Amino acid sequence: MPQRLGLTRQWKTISCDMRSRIVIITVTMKTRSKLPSKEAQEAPISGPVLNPSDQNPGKLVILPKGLSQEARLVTLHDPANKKPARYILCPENGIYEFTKISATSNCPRSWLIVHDQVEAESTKDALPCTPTQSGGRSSDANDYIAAADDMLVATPYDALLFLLPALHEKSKSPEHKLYLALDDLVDETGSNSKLLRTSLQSTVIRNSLEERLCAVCDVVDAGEERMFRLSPKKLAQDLIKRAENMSKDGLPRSMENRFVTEALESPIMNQNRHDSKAETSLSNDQIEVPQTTEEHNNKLPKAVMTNDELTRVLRLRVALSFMLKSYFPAALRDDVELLLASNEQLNLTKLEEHLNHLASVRSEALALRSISDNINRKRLMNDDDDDEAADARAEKKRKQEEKDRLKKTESHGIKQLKKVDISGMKKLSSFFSKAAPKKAASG
Amino acid sequence: MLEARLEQAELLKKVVDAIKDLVQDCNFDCNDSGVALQAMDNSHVALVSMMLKSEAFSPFRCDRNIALGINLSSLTKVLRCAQNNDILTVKAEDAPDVVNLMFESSDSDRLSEYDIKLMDIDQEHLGIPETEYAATVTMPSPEFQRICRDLSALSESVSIECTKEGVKFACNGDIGSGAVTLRSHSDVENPDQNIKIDLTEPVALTFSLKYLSNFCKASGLAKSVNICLSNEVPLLVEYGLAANSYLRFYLAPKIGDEE
Repeated sequence: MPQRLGLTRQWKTISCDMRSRIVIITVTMKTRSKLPSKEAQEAPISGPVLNPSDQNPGKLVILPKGLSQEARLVTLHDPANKKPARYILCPENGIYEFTKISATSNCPRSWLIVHDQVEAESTKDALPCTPTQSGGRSSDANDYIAAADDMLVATPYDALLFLLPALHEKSKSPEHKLYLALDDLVDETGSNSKLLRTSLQSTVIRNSLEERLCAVCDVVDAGEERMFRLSPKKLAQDLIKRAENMSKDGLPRSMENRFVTEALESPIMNQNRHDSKAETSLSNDQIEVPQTTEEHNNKLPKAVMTNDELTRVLRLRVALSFMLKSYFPAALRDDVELLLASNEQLNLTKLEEHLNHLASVRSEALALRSISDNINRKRLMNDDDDDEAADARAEKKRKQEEKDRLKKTESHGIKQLKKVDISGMKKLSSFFSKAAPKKAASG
Repeated sequence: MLEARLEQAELLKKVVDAIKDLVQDCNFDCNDSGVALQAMDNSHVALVSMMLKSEAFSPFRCDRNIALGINLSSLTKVLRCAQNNDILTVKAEDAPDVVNLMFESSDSDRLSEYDIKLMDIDQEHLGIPETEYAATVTMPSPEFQRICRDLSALSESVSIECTKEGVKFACNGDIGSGAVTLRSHSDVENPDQNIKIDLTEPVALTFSLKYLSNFCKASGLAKSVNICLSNEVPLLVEYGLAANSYLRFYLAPKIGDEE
């Protein structure tokens, strides 16, 4: 799309530097939400004629640095969910998966991709997927606006994950746990996909596979070949190591906020009727068990884990469940989860206890809040200068006053009559039918 | 426009006095035939129906049907300002906010005027059919009032039993029981004291004495009262007024609550 769209906004140019291995692409971020096609329709006729919008718009992809010429984008079945997914196969660097990064729906974005002369030259070959416009008159003409705000980032992928379903399959029955050679495993895995088989057979990937298999499998040497059998324990250890690696400096911020900070937050209880020192606090090193009233004291589990320890374990758990959910086939996931749950190193039970307790406190707080919320809302109503509400209130008040007035003006006789025992007396309407209103009864 | 002139304010005073302890607010429905009122008590077991025919007024003018929703306590307060012999004129617009009451003293040139604010009263009217009652007892209204007062001392309810022999008011209370029996009686010299019993079949019904005593507050309006009974229907206590006008009270019988 040509750039002469009469755009008045200031474009901000940013550079994405995704670790050292990734090519720097100069991209210009666009903060307007209009689609380019719409822009084209709205442009005045007298202006320059715009190219029609691309039927198959390009995607912004960030690729790793140093991909070989043989690197290819391939579609393979994701071992976790058996659905086709895109991968980069590089015989020299291994396998990469794509992670899609999108803007939130309430903050729509588009990409303006500007081809800097120098960088465009240098990255042209290495970026087979970056959209380029043919017949460039100037560098401007090559610039591109992508309506979709997705960014696909290629990240290294453990080839072992492709083998896991096959490994798991062969070691399922307890009696017949089979040892398998790497070649057999690759054949088994690639039985449905020739592409996968050939790609797993490349030297670099084979070597890394063997290394990884040693980490998660029981190994026997059978002459020249090594034979592997999945060891759930080793796999769990490997996973924990990875999770530790992942959560060492805290999880990525959105994950940390959502699953760690939020999960460990205890509700603030205002209703300390008995004892002010029973206030909830997580700021101390030793966790003070949140409590509202004295009576709760006995019910609560005594805190044994420090706050930092809790956070560490929870981070590990989040990391583990993220890895399991994203990369492991369902059948294997359950087995590993069971193993992890009983892992002493992780100490998940204590965490579970604490989280359960937090949940109960939270639900209690919620119940209390719904009461106070109610009160707050009433106050809001009073503060609110909404005419309608005021009218309704005035009307209600008037009616109430009317009622009170009637009560006051009630004569003594009527008050006395109210006390009369009317048991066994039917209402007169059960004897006489209702007449049309405003018609004096002839009675 | 309503304009109704009553020679004696006493009539309206007494009517309102008689019903003010039964009904709190009610509509006075005015049309060219006169002023009517129908209202039930709070419990809806008793009903008062009043009709003041246009002939009772002189003159009477009512161009449109209008309903004057009046609080009876307020009306009582204003009517207290009138003397029994005052000439009372009721006036109201076609779509009135207030009703105007004017009292003219018959023997002096005193003229007092009061406006009562009206209210919107959403009352349902019951259609009451003309009924042939099994028994109609006509007796002096003070007599009926006395019976009700006397028996009230013993009990909350009274059984009224009409037979050929007469009418028996009987009650049974904590301290004992009591009964008053009246036989047909005609006094030639003083026809107001006549007791007449028209009977097609014997009737026995039980009623709340408190309500009956309440109805008796109308005793001053008429010298005699008609008490009409039929099994399983409300009792009618009727006070006849001049010029075909009337004040009627209906009361639901107590059923399945024998004492």
